Amino acid sequence: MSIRMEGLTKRFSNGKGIFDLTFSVKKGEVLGYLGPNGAGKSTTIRHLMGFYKPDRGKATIDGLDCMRLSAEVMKKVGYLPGEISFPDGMNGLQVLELLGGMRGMKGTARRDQLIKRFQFDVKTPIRKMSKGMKQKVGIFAAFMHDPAILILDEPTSGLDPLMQQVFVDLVLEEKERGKTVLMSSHMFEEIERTCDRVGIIKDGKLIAVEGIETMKAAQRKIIAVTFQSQEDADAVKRSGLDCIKEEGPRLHLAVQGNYDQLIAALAGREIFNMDMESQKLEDIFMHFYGTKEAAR
Amino acid sequence: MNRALFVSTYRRNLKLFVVFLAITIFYFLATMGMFTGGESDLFAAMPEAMRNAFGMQEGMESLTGFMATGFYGATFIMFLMIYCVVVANGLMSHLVDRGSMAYLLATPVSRRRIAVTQAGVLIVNLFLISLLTSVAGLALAPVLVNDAKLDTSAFLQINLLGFLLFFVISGYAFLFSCLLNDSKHTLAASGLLSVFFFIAQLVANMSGEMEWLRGLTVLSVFEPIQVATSSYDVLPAALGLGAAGLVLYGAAVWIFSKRDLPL
Repeated sequence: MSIRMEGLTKRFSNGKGIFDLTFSVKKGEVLGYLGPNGAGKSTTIRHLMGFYKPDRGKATIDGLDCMRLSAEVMKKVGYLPGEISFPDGMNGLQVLELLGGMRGMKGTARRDQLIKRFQFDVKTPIRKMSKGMKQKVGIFAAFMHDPAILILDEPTSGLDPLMQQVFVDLVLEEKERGKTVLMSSHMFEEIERTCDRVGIIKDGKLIAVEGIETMKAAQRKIIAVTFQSQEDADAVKRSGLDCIKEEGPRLHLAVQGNYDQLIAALAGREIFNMDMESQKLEDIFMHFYGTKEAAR
Repeated sequence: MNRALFVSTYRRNLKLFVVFLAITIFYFLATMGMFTGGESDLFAAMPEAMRNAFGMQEGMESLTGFMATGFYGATFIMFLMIYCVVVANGLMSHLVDRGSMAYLLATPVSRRRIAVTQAGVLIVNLFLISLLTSVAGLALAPVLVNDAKLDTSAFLQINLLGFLLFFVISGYAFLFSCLLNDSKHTLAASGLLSVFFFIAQLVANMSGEMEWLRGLTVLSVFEPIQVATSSYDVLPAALGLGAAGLVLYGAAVWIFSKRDLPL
């Protein structure tokens, strides 16, 4: 079981698209597909789902062409779209029954188990659902037939932190059971707990596919530390750490793998406050985005 | 056809279907109730140009002719055109526009089967409207009209031809729905084409010089008044409409199964 893309190319009339994507997800592997909004993640996934015909190259799942044999491919796939929109005038259960019926599913044990796990009142009419509730229905629809391959487009968007954790556990379990997962996101934190490898896409081009450990090491974090005294702040500034910004006794320190150095520099200082700053994907992985940029 | 999808789509379209069915039958019966046997009926009071526009010239003295003119000539066509345009849009284009089509395509049911199933709902409902209108007409004519002489054969032929006409009209509406991503464009395209056909028919009927417009509108194949007076060859018209409808639906399904879908 595996997902493969070979030279997959699709150019839209506005010049955007995806260009010459070649990568694969091996059986039993969880691949995180990272990129800022508009980078081409959903476009890639839509090719896997057979919604788009590529200009060049091809996408296959288990050796079957994703466009021509889409119906056959879908027997093995569970899909969670990036934008959740169910047909109007139905409740959650009716949607799941429709999709289950179209799949020719007999039992509902797994579906009911999922519903219970996410603590969801499935009889709520779709139009009364919040984004997070719809996201749950989407998750049930993707997982309920126990597919061997899961294609998840921004799966945790709209879920509260508690439910995000429930979802992460679910993905880890599926991985344990040998499922193949492709999961897109624009946030590294969202996928780092589940993924074996990470592919990074920018402007429709794949700029890196690396193991999760390499990615974690490459990850650049900004830590904002507020010291009790200006002397402490000045001392830390001189310690060789990369200080990217200072506001009096508050320093913004960039750390990429050198956590030991940070801890050593901070040891013994009087620290008033400490924050981890959230950053754009491009800033977290300056290493990848940056080097590519320089090579051009 | 996929059973689960058909049942679900049918259920979601049921309300609109019942509303249109009720309005259609109500107007049918109301028209029938106005029949007085040829003298001083409502339509005789209308200006001649207007009567010509709706094709009201002959055969008004029989009940069948009266219904052909007063109901099948305009009201029936207008109602069902609206029904076709609205429902066809909801079956495909709306789902693509909204993105819900993604869920249907994520199942092992092929695009072709999804399109055929959705089309099936529209065709079945159009057939039921024709069928139930016919049944209501045949059953209630003796109740509503003294001495009712509904020409059963001609009446059924009008309804059959009417169904086939809407097989074609729903066909192009469904074709647009399969072709266009934006629900608004679909409604505009099939709506405007329908309005054009309707107006072309009116104008062609009104003046002899504009007779050529009949060649541009599918409505000219449906000649309820001539069927009522047995002066129309129904078989070739029926076969032509049936074939045209099949071609339109076939093209719609084929296009939908091949094209890119921005879901």
